Amino acid sequence: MGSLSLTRQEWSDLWRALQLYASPVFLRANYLLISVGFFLFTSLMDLRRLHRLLTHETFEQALSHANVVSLILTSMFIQNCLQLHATRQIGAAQAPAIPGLALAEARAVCIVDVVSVLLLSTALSFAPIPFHDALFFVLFNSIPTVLQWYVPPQGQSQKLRVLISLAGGILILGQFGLLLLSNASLWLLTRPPILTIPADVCLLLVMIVSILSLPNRLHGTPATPHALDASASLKDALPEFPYGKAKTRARKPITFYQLRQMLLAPTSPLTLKTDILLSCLFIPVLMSISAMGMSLFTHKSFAACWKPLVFSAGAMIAVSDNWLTQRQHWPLLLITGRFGDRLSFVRSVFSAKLSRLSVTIPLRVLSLIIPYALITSFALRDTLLFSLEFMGLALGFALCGGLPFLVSGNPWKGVVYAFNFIPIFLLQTCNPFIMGTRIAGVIAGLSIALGCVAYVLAPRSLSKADWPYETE
Amino acid sequence: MTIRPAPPTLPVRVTDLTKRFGSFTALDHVSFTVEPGETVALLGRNGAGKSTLIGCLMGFLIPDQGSVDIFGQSVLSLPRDLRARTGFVPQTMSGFTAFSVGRLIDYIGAFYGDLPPIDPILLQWADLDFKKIVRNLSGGQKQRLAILLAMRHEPDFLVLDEPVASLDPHARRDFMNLLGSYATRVGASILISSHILSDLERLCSRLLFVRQGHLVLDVSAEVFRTQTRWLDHSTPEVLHTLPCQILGQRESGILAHGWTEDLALPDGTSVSIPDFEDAFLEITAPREH
Repeated sequence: MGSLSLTRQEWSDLWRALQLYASPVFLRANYLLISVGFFLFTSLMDLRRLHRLLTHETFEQALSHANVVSLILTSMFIQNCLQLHATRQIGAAQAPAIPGLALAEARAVCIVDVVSVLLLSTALSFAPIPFHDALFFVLFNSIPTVLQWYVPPQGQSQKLRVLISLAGGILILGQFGLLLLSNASLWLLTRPPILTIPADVCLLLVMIVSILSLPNRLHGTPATPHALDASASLKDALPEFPYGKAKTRARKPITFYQLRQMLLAPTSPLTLKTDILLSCLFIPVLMSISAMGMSLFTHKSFAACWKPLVFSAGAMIAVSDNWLTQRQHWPLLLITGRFGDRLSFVRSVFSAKLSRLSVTIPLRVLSLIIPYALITSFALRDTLLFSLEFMGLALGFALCGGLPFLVSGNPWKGVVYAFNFIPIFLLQTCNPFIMGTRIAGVIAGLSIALGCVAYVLAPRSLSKADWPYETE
Repeated sequence: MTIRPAPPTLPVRVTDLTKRFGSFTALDHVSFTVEPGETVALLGRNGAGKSTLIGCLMGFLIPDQGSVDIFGQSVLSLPRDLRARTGFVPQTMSGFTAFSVGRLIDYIGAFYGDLPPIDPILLQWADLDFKKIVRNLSGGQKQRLAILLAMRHEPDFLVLDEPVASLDPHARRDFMNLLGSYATRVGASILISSHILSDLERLCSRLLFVRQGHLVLDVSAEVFRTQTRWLDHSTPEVLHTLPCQILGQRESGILAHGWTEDLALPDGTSVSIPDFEDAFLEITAPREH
């Protein structure tokens, strides 16, 4: 990780690496910047609102009316945005051979990361929230994405990649659940300094160590032999493992349905079952746990605790992924000929997405609304109306990811990325529980209309564009 | 420009190097040295362990056993001034995608201190538009950039991992000439892994053949040319008693290393000079352990 005292040369290396953050090198091709900008803007708006509310309400009341989703997302996206830049620099094949580069880049990203966290915390402190609590809140929200610093680069241990990505995903879901469905935000933002200051120091240290150890992990950890020799034949290695052939024999042929699901993402082609399971279980289980926890602490009934939780659960219905930004696998699947010409291929991608959405969205919505209806004796008409509006919103927003393609066949990746992830925020703020059924109904209608436009017109535009076939 | 002292005497010493990935042994007790000014070819089939060896040699991978010394220092604790005397060209250039070519050359160059202007011959060969963004370069252009970045500080020890795979025949031929004249001009040691055997045969003064993680032959190119022969006989078994290293076998004979004109051969033995590619295929063909 390097010592704390730097030589003149190391200072100079660090300065040059830091300068990159104020140059086109950082801004160019960093497709997360738009999302960071959007969430940062909404965070500042929310903080302004919180500041206004705090003039005449208690902290607890103000926080119950304010939205913290944008703050959580900003904390996460800042980490992701810096990770994207840093891994491009430190993860370059020739980086470890250049004296001082990897360490200088790691130090630079560490400084930028710490400064970003401190700045965001300072913005929170203007709400006003005590700085130590604000820092604790921001750092707590950064934990799942800090874990992503440990994801090995492409080609290295696949098991570790999956494990860390899975752990990160579970942490993010858990964190969203915790912060949206309980009073955890209030708890985090009102801890005494005796607790938060040591916690802040520890979390900052974890973040710093995670980043500074990055060069060692990217280039010092054992890679698989095939990753090192990109052209290595798997066949050469098989005689070492007698079970290899048996495993090949046991493999079942892939069905056309599975092949169609592959269109959505190369890394998760067969996750429909998992998706269904998660959709059915995640929301009710998490809300039950949260309601039970709250009921224990507040001595209110389980039903009374459940009811307010549903107001913060909108974001969990959103279906956001990289189906339109990860297109490296398209040429490979196109040449199989199973999906017809280019236009038919892109239409197949959209139809695969729609078929997946038509399964998962109703499941997610019903898993939120049905328990709520049962617990609160919600009228059947209202249950249906809420469900339909939620489904419309989620479906419309999910398909709106294709809208940037109406302007250009190859829009900037950052725009497509933002269109695919902003629905998380929109569903949290524009749902029938928050806006009422009338306004939410109008928004749902609009989103469905826009989604339909994207569904019908975007494939044509995409089919005429260049398809990326190499990772950036 | 700073005047750098003469390079230390032995650029590379690899001793008993073993590297495992789980139960797979990628390198098994490999030892060799690279002398100053030597151009060494690293030869082997895909998956033989070449890139693992290069990874250990550059200090990217930690050996399970044995050691790698560069300029007399362990590569794992190579001080900055010695690291700056090495250069590395990867199989494919990755990362740094958002830089313009000119800015990247300046940025990377600054890590080596005050460098003189780029060798005009290298610059001319690379033929790059300095304003172009790295991610917009073609595969071949990226590779030329990687080579330029690795050679512009004129390293005393240069490692090239299949550097010409994505170059067109013109660029490849010119690069091999460039590399040869660079080695002569700077007196640098070069270790190059490539599958373009004709290039290696022409350029390299020493050959290292790697098979299934073992260094099976470490020989000077000249000795290999003069002492490696196909020996054929109607009863090939009689050839096994000869004081030669058997590098390969075919139905009618053996590929023998250590042949000299004075060697007493059984009557009826025919001697032929092997084609370099045939010899490579024989030597590096996988064997039962």
